[in-house]
Amino acid sequence: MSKWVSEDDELIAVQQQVRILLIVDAAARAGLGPLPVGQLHLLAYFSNVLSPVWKLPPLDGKILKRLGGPFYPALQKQVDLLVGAGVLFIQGVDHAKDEEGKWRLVGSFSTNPVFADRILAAVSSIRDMYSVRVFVQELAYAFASLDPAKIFSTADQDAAYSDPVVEAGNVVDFGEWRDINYSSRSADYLASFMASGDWTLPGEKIHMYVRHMHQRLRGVR
Amino acid sequence: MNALPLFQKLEVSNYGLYPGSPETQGLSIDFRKGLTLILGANGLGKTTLVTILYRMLTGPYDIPRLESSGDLGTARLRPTELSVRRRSLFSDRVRDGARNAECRLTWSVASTKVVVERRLTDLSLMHFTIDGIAQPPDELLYQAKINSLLNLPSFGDWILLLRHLVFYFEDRRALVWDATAQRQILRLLLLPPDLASQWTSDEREILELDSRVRNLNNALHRVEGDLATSESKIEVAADARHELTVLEKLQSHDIPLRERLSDELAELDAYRQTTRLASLKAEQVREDCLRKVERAKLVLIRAHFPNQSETASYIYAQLMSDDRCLVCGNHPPAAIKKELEERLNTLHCVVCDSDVTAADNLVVGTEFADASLATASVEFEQAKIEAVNAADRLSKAELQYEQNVTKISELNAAIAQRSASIDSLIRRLPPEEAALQDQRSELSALRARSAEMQQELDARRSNFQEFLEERNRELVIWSGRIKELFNTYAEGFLLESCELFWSPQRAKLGQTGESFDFPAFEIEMTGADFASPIRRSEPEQVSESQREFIDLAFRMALMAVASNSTGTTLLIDAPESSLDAVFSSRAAKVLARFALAPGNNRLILTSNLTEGKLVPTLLQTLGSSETDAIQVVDLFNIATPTAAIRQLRSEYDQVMKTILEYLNV
Repeated sequence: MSKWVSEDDELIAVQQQVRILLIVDAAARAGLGPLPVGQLHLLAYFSNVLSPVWKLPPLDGKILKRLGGPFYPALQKQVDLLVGAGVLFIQGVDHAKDEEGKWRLVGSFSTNPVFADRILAAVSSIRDMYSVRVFVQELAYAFASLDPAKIFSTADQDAAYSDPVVEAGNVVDFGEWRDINYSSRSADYLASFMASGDWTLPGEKIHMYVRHMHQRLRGVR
Repeated sequence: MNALPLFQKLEVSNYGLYPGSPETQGLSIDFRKGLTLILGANGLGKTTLVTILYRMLTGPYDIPRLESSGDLGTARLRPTELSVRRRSLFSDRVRDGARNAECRLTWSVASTKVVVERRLTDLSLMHFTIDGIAQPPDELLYQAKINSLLNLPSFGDWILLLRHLVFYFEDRRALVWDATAQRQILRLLLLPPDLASQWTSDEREILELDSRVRNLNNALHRVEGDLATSESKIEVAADARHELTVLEKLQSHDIPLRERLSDELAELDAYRQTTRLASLKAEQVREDCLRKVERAKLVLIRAHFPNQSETASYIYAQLMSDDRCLVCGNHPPAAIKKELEERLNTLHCVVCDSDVTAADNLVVGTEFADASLATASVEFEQAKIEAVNAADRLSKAELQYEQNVTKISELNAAIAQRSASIDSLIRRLPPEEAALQDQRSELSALRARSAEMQQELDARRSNFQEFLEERNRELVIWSGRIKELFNTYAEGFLLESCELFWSPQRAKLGQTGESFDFPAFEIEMTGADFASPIRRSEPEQVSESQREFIDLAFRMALMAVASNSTGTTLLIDAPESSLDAVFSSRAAKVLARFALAPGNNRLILTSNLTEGKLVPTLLQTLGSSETDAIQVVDLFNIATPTAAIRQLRSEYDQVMKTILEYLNV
């Protein structure tokens, strides 16, 4: 980590790095590893937008809407640093043009157990951070059940990201300055159709919502 | 009085509405015996011209509500100054606010000539002369001079005469059917000034006395009622006194209690504020501790990240496996291998050789991070407990405060209700004997005063009754002449038989006492469904055309009598508006008769170029008898043209030409 950033910035960076590590690790456990860069950002987005389902605050309550799907440049910087620090492995490194004609890194990530395991152990030792780990793991399992070719397009069916009121190039705000999160609200709404109703578990809600997006992708309404 | 005014000349200068013709600037009219016909169209200022004439005579004064219907009592005849808004009537009509507009009216009464000059901005008096002698330009002096010149009791009477006889305004009162107005006009026109004045003052004194007697009697009745109540209270006194004692006892308990609670309220409020502050601060401490815990967690996790040396060693190990470069598979030169190992040993970056000692020192050890998190967690738990306790203390303080406020409110309501009951009971108690005596004395004094004033009022009424009877006898002498003149003017206009009757009207003066017989005329007229003439006491009992010209004929008759055939001025604004086609020519003949009457009458008529026979017949009738009797004021050449006139000038000229042709007949 650079010594030129303030301690607060450093701690924010730690939060982001932990989230990345949790996602890459969870993806590997769910059979999605090594995790392509696009899916890493997709899972990062859903870990934010669906966090209210798990009664957690989002790490970031907004995202710039892009035609190519969710992408967090600040998060990518932390990914690069983690690779440089030897915490993450990268393979299949390349650069390719995205849907908007911009150059993007292409590659897939996995954790380096030498360093990652002890970090993950530290995370699990703290109760509320462990809760985040469980949530991210549940999210990864939900996505792992989808058709791998369709995973990346899931955001197109997400209630918040696909809100027609917000065009590409504008900010999708689901928790920074606005209190309305269409995605978590939709997940709760779907759960209301379950026999268990209000007793539906958060994990079940996430699975239902991800499956619902997938069905929409397949044209099932 | 001394006859009625005869208009001689009107001159208006520098007024934007009347710029004048190329030959003559402004507006100038020489009024002569006979007809002065003012011709114009809508917006050319006919009514403004008539109003200017009226205001030149009255100045900025008027009698309030004179134009409205209702009883025209003597007391209402006091002139009052016009409001600023009404004074700006002429200035509002032009762009420059009539800044330099001036007006001069020359008129005469009997053989005296009066010249008045006023500013049109605010009607203020600039100059006035009587028989060529300049008078100080003071409005009140002007009014006094007019009263003296015309032998009028007051300036209000002058305004009354102008509105009811000389000027035939659209909002006029119909004199024939208005007994109260007639009474005033007959008094002014036909009685000597001293008697006319005495009439007014007698009436006013009776009205004032009547009002005072009524007020006194009201006070008398009130005192009588109070005394009767006081005397009846003696019977209910015992019960009331007992109830009063109970209520006062309760009050004497509750009022100090309320004071004590109010004092406590201040203390409770202070405590409430202290606990609120403490609660907010505890909440803040809890929040700070929470943040500290959050931070400690992240610090702990960061401590488990690899430091720079570990990363460097790892990358070196990755690059140099078994002394072979993993990138190219060759053995690295010894110098490079040594250099890389040196970097590792001296805590420099294995790739870029930067010194990473400082960065490594920044990273907190895991043990220390663990300890920090544990400490922060303990602090947070304590802060949480303190915040809960502080909130609890606050809610208790608030509850105590609210309970106190509620109790004080209840006491306030009870005390107020009891106070009202106590007041009511005190009122029901009989007054002290001395006070009762005072009431009785007051009553007897009031009774004596009332009887005295009533006596005086009766005497005045009786005197006025006699005065009025004498005046009626004097006035009735004129009735024959007035009826005769009325018939002269009405003849030819009405196909029905119409007669004026001397018919004194009984009316009260004030609200008490007997009614008086006041002088008045009424109309009897035959009708389609009546064989013999019947009394028409209301204007609605005749048609609109008949109404206008019966009233006009009555006015003309009164004016003729008053002016004693020396002549007078009658000014009518757009008379054709209320006449149907058939009656127009008849009306023209009535007007011609006035204009040609023996003496020096001036008839001033304004007219739009409307269809109808009134103006043509009038011109024909007057033109065939005496060509000098007609002069036409053409506002099309004098006034500022309206948009309609600018666009349709040729059509207006054609109509004007047709009308003026009647002059040449």
